[in-house]
Parts: sequence; structure tokens; C-alpha cells
Amino acid sequence: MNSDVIIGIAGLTLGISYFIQSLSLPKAFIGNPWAPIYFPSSLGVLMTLCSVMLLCGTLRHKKKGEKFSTQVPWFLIIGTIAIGSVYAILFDRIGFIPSTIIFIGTMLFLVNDTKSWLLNIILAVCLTLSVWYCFEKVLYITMP
Amino acid sequence: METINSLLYGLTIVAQPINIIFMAIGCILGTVLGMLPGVGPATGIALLLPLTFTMKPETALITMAAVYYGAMFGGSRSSILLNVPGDGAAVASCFDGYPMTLKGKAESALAISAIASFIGGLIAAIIFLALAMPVARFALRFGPPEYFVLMVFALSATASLTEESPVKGFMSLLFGLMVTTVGIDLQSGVLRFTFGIPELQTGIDFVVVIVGIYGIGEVFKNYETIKETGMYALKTTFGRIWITLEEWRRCVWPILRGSIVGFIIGVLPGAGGTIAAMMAYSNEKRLSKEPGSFGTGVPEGLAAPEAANNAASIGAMIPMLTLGVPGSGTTAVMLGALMIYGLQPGPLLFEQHPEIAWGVIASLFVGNLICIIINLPLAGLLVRLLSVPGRLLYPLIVVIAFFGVYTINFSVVDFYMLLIFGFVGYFMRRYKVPLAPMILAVVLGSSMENSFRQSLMLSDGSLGIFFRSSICIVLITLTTFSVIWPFVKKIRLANRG
Repeated sequence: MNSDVIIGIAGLTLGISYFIQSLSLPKAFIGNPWAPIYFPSSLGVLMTLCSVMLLCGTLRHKKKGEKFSTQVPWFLIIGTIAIGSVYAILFDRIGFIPSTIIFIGTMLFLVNDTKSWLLNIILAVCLTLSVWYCFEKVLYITMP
Repeated sequence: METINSLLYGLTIVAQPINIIFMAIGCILGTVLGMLPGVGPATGIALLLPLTFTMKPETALITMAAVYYGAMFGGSRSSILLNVPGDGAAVASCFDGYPMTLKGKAESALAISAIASFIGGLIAAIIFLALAMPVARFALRFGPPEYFVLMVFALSATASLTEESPVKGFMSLLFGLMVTTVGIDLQSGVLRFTFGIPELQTGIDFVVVIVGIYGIGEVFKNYETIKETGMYALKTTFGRIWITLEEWRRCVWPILRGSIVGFIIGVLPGAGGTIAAMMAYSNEKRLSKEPGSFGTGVPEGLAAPEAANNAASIGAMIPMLTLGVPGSGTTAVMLGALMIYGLQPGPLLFEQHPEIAWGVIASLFVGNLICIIINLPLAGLLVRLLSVPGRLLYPLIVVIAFFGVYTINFSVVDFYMLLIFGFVGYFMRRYKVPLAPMILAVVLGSSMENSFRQSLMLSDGSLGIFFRSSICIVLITLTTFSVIWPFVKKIRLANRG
């Protein structure tokens, strides 16, 4: 599919849903009750208009779906998001040092070669300890 | 005289050891980040942003400015040696820089690029110095309606002047404004778009958005070509990096012309280093007696864009410092840094915090000197960094981004936001949606809405207030022109073709 069509559909969905949401926002108790709603609702309308313009322009010129020279690196992107989310869960529960060693280690195993396992482990431990030192002793920020 | 005294005062700020040290670090970091393909100055400053919280505001801003123009110096290293531009602003340097390397003139090319960048930066800093006070004094006449219209102009010009489709530019801008509406509305106390998540009540921190879009999004984009990075056959040993008298004679006018073109383009919102460098290149080609020789490794073709992109990076700081309205993604991040300190950039900054305004201006002179010292004798050492494999570099950028955003609110919710905006940033890049309008909107959105509502309060709800002063009318005309121009241009091109 053409990238303009994808962006147009995404923008249209966002614009309409944002506009509907903005209409159900609570009204102000003081001054003009609609004051907090004007700005977001106009953003929703403008986003919808821009999306329609983009879609109409693309359909009128019948642009063919362009070929990307590269594929979406889903494995690495989803992997990074998953590792980051697990880090967010573990961070407060098991503390900064163990969770960060796991985070950096798994990130390196995901992206760097698994053959360089020793380098990955050394980097994960050294980086974690140096960042911890930096936060705790230099910036005086207490880590969990 | 007043300007000279202020500059001398600024130099005393810059001369403080801590500022010199951080400026040198900024210059080195900027050169390295500019050099690495796929990692630009905006990413560098975005990653650096949370780390500057512990610094004094003037030190933070001096460091960021150093990263910005350092990246302009460094961006051309990989253009010249590998034909791979370090960032968009260095694309034009490939045209004649790489052919010079193929001809065995890599040393001359590296020297021309560093000297042209230095002179471009210096000339831009002198013009900046001359213009800063008059512009700041003029901006004192601005009230809420003028500021609102000025921000609308900056945002619309950034959106419509993007290299991609202007409609996509406006969509990016609107998305950024939508992000700023999340959280408590400070004027009415109403909660907007928080979806019951308490952490969203204070809004989405723009630092998280910036680091996500630039830092994580850039890494995701670079994952596409991860196997190719760090695999370059590099020349790392050089002879004397200097230029001959003949090369200097040929380059001096292109450098001067490129500097002026670059500065003017830099000041305009939305244009930036890439357009400045391209325009300076085509300008030189048009003026040359042998335009056909451009692209075969002529020094003029390298000198002009190099001077222009550096001058543009300094020119871009004028609206940010004097008016408080940035014209590019990178200066928007710098403006954000000042706002974190509770400072409002703009005309009052020169009166209330001269150490910041004049410290930054004075640092442009000293920083350019540091950059040329780094880029001439240390070029051989620095280009070795181009062989650092992406598979080691990118996980480390992700990790730095996580640590950075944690220092803002000490909340793990920001980790999720970071990943979400990283994902959004990747798809915006992939589908060619410009990032700068969104970043500008995220930084300016709240101030813009506040100025709008303050203006309406002053006028009892009448929109006529935006047409009462001549400044507003001029800015509205410029805004209308900037919005209509891309479409008119498109129609004219279609009619011709």
C-alpha cells in the first residue's frame, strides 16, 4: 500500500477519534465552560481535513504503492519493545542493578551477535555498575 | 559598544573552566555524532538533554550548542571519506568531497571542509552578534496575540517548508499539538485525555517525546541497515591535513557566499542545514565558469555547502534565543532545555539572564575554534569511530535513552511512553512524515494555547485582537503565504510539466 494512504488512514482514525473524545471532555467550572474543549476539538477537525486531503491527493493521482528498499525489522523492534517493557516491570521490583544487567545484557544479545556473549556480559555488568555509581555517587540520585 | 561589552561579559562566562570543559565535550560529541551515519545532532542533543539537568542552564545550553555545530563539522567526514552523509546537512558535501577522496585528495577535502565550517561558523556568529540585540528589543513589543501569531507562523512554516509533503508536515504538527493537550488544563483545571492514568495528569513530558522520537525512533530506523554499519573500508592514515594556496584562493569566495546564504536560510523557520547546503552548492554551480566540473571533485563544490550548513546551525539559534520561538527540531530541543529550568527564552532572557544569552553567543566563537582544532589534527583518530559496528552502538543508545528519561520524573511509566514514541517516530520516518513540526509543536504547544487564551481574555473573546497590530498582520500574511506557497509551487510545476 502507498505510504500516503497508510498515513492518511492513520490520521483520519486519529483525527475522528480525537475529535469525538474532545467533545466528551469535562467543561470548565469558571469562565467559558467550552474553553478547554475549543483547542483540542479544532485539532481533531484539522487532522481529519488534512488526512482527507492527503487521501484525495493520493487517490486522484493513483500513486502506486512504492517499494521500500528495506524491510521493517520487526524482530528487532518488537524485541526492543518487549525487553524495554519487561525492564519497566522489573525495575522497581528487583532493583536497579539486577534489572539493568538483564536489560543491557538481553539488548546486546538481541542486537549484537550471540557469538560475542562474553563481550555482551562484560559490557552489561560494567555499564550497569558505572551508571549506578554515576547516579548514586555523582548525581546523588537514589536508585531502587 | 554595548554589544562589545556584552560579548566580553559572555566571554568571561565561557572562560569558566566548567564551561570550557563541557563545550569541548560537546564539540567532540557533536563531531562524533555528526560523523556516524544515521545519528544526527537532534538525536545527540535529545539524548544529552536529561543529562544536563544537573548543570547550570548556561553550561547546558553552551554544551548543546557545541553539539549542534560540532555535528555540522563532523557530518562531512563520512561524506568525504565514504560517500555516506553523516546527516542531511552533509549530503551536499558528498557531491564533490567524495570525488576528491577518489582523486587521492582526501587530506585537502577534510581540510577544506573544516576550514569552511570554521569560517562559516565565525561569520554567522558575527552576524548573530550584530542582530541579537535589535531583534530582542523589537520582540519586547510582542504581547500574547503577537506571540500566538508568531508561533503559528513558526509552526506552519516548519510544516510547509519540509522536504516531504506539506500536508504530512501539517499532520505531524497537529499530532504534536495533540500530545500537548494531554494532562491537566492549567487555566481551567480540567483533566484532558488522561484515560484514568494518574501519571498522565501532569502531561506527557516533552523530553520523553523528544528522546523517544529522535533517540529510539532513530535506532529502530537504523535497525533496517544494521548489517551494513561499521563495515566500511576506511582510510585512517592521512598525510598533512591542510590546503594549498591555490585551493584556498578558489574556496574563499564560495565560503563567504555560502556563509551568508546558510545564515539567512538558518534563520528562516523550517529550512535548516540541508536546504542551506543544497542552495549554497547550486548557487556556486550557477556562478561557476565551469559548472560541468561540479561533481568531479572541485574544492568550491565542497567549501560552499560546508560553510553554509555551519552558518545555518548558528542562524537557527537567533529566533530561538531572541524570540523564544525555534525554527528547527534541534533548536526546539534546546528551547525545551531552557524551559525545564523554568526560563523563558526570548527578549527578556537578555535582560534577566544575560549570562545565558551572552554566554551562548560568546561560546559560538570559542566553540568554532575548538571544533577546528578537533577536526584538523585529530581527523585520523576520529574517523576510526566510523568502524564501530551498529549492533554495539544502537543497543547502547537505547540504554542511554532509558536512563535519560528516568531522571525526569523517576517513573517507569516514562519507559513505556519512550517506547511508544520510539515506535511512532520510526513509522513517521519510514513513511516520510517530517519530525521537526511535531517536535516544535510538542515544545511550543502549551505556550501557544496559553497565548491564544490570554489574548481572548484580553479581548473578551473577540478574535479581532489577532488583527489589531501591524506585527500581527505581517505575521498572518507570512503565515498565509507559507501555507499557500507549497501548493502554488506544485500547481506551477504541474502546469509546466
